[in-house]
Amino acid sequence: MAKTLLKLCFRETKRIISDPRIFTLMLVGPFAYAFIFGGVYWNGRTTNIPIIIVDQDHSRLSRELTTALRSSDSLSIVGFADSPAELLPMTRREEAYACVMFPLHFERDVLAGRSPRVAIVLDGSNTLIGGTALRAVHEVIGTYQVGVDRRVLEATGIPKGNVPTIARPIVMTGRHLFNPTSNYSYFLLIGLVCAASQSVIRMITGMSIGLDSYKEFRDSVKTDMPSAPWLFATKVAGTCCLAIPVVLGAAASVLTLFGMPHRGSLLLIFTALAVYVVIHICMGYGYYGICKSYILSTHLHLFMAVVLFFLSGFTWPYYAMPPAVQAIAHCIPIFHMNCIMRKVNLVGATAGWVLPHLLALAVWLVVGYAWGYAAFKQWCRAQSTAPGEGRAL
Amino acid sequence: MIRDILKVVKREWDWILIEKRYIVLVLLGPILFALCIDTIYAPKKVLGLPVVFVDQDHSQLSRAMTRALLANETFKLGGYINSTEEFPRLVAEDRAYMCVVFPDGMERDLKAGRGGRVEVLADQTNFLTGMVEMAKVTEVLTPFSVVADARIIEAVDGVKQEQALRRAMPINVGTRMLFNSGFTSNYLNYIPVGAATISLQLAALLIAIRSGSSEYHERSFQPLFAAQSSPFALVAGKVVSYVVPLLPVFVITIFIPHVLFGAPIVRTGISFWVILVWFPAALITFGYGVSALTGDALLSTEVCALLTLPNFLVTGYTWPMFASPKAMLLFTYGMPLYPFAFAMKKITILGGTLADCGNQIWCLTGWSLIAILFAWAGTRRIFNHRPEGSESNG
Repeated sequence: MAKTLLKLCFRETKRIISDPRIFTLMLVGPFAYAFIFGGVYWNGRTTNIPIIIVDQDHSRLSRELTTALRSSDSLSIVGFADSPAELLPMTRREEAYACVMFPLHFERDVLAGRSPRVAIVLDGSNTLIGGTALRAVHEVIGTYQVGVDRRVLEATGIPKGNVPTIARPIVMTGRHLFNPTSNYSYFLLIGLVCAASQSVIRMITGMSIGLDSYKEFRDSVKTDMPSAPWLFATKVAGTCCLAIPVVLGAAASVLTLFGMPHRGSLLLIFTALAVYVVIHICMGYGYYGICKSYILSTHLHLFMAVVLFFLSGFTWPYYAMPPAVQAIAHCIPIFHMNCIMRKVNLVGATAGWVLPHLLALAVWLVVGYAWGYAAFKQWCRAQSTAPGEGRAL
Repeated sequence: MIRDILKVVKREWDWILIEKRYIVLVLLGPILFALCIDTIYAPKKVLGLPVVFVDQDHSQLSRAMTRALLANETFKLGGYINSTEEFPRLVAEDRAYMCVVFPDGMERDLKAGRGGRVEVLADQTNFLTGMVEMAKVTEVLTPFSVVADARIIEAVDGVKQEQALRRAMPINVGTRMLFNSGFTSNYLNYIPVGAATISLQLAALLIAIRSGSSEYHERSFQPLFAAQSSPFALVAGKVVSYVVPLLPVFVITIFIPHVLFGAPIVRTGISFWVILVWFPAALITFGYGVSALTGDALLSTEVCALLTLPNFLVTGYTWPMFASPKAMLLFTYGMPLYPFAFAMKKITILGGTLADCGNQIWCLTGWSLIAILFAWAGTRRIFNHRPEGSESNG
């Protein structure tokens, strides 16, 4: 019995390896995601945002501030304009995304203590660009603010010694925990690998069962055919033999090649990933059972891939979603996997801290297995009544 | 010629209606996709982030600051803790995402002119949450800085209150957000248009993915060739037969966030319609070409998966292109979603026209030429594959 099961398991693995379409997709999918996005987010943060300067003051202070803005690595001054109105066409042509304007009499107002004004016009159509540009300008101008305060106070006759004390405001020290450099790739890359693995595993499972035939399956066993639950277990195990190393390899490459920090237990992460892979293999069978065609199930997974990623709360946080959508998010495995990845990797959470997510994965393992098994039984029945049905598109 | 094209269109529609599930998936897919994504972003803002306080000062000022922070809709009280050491666990358990520390002697130091200090620990495991937290906490605490400054000036120098306030006034930074005035928090205004293009691209590719391979295996062009159809009429007929049902799907998907959730659409002039028809026509032609060339619906689907899966995040729609390594730009420009997503954004959100879409038009032209080349080669392949003995006048 054990020998037969091993043989069937080996058969499944061999089938996947020998079909270049399935094997390439499985191998390329998770790794391609890791490498492509690792490349895209290589710099980790948004730098060199093209901005323009409108200097209507032409004073020493405005020139000093321009030089300070130029030295910020977040910004790149691409030109000087006469009016902020010039920004609009430049933004549409992707030439500049912000405009910093020093109005007429800017320096005179500073010296007269009249609270001068620097205007920033920003392209708000991309939060990452707009937010970074705004922060960078605030950072640069904030340092001048203290200097200017001091100069104004001195001018009003306050003794020099008192001025630094008086000019000191409440200091707010912000500390970004877990991802101090606000590196975009640290929080996004691992989630993308989970999303890619999910789609690829479901697709290859659907293709694998769709291209299989019950007759060949039966012919490969010379002795008595094991019962359906055992047959299903061999198919899942055979796919796991390839899928688990691929997904773990992709996750490991993110951690090692792209320098993502991992503060928690790697064993916990890899165990959760292995369970996640098994869940999706079973769900791949389940979806095939609904679609009854591997092409249709592949198309369905392609449509669902991005929706599930958004729902997982990896970019737009789940707690900001409407309650009904939050409930749906809690019901999908990728949400729990991403929570485990983020919390264990970045926060350094232990198994106890992420226990609800681990339990949710365990529940999904049972549900997914039962669902996949039901679909597999249906396939066996259809194949035995009409052999070769699975091959039909 | 028109009659030949219409003949192909009718034949194609008869065929696609046989397998209704595909047409339902491809036509309803983008609409459901858009509804789902738009609902996720429907609250527009990140609200109600639980924040915990470590109040070691227990002063009037620390209580006033706590009240001010909690009065902001972004935050809600997650509790009071004794030490920041408890914070990581609270983050892991989703019970708090920000911790504000008022150190011992803060008010006393401030009154003595030594500068008060507030420490803010923000969970940065989600970039978006971290950004919103820091922006909002700065917004709330900045007025306290100015008032505190004024109080010190008043106390130290004995000047009048209004004079002290004026002296404490920093350089004002006036900010104007173009295109998305609620920008710091409103994601509904720009994400849905970009997200909608993902599903529309998929629909355009997948709807035609079996049209070529099925000719190769199940159906044949012979009856059409016999009826004097030219290869051009065949390809045009195929493209028209898929563009027509897909166009309403494109329109509905693009307008869902505007109609249901109030996301702004600035312009829908001729430029909008040109892009809206051009893009699906190019991709349907490409999908048909790939399908005809490979003669295998599964392989064609994989080619489409390769083109579409990594696409959105590489287009530069969220992560800006200039922040990517230079080598990745080739990848971005080489993807079909880039011209569509950016042209739609420029027209619908930025209020631009085709004149502002130079790069996008070049890319779309490139993809159109590739698509025509594939469709031509695929049609020739099918044509050459026909059984011996059958003749064609095409």
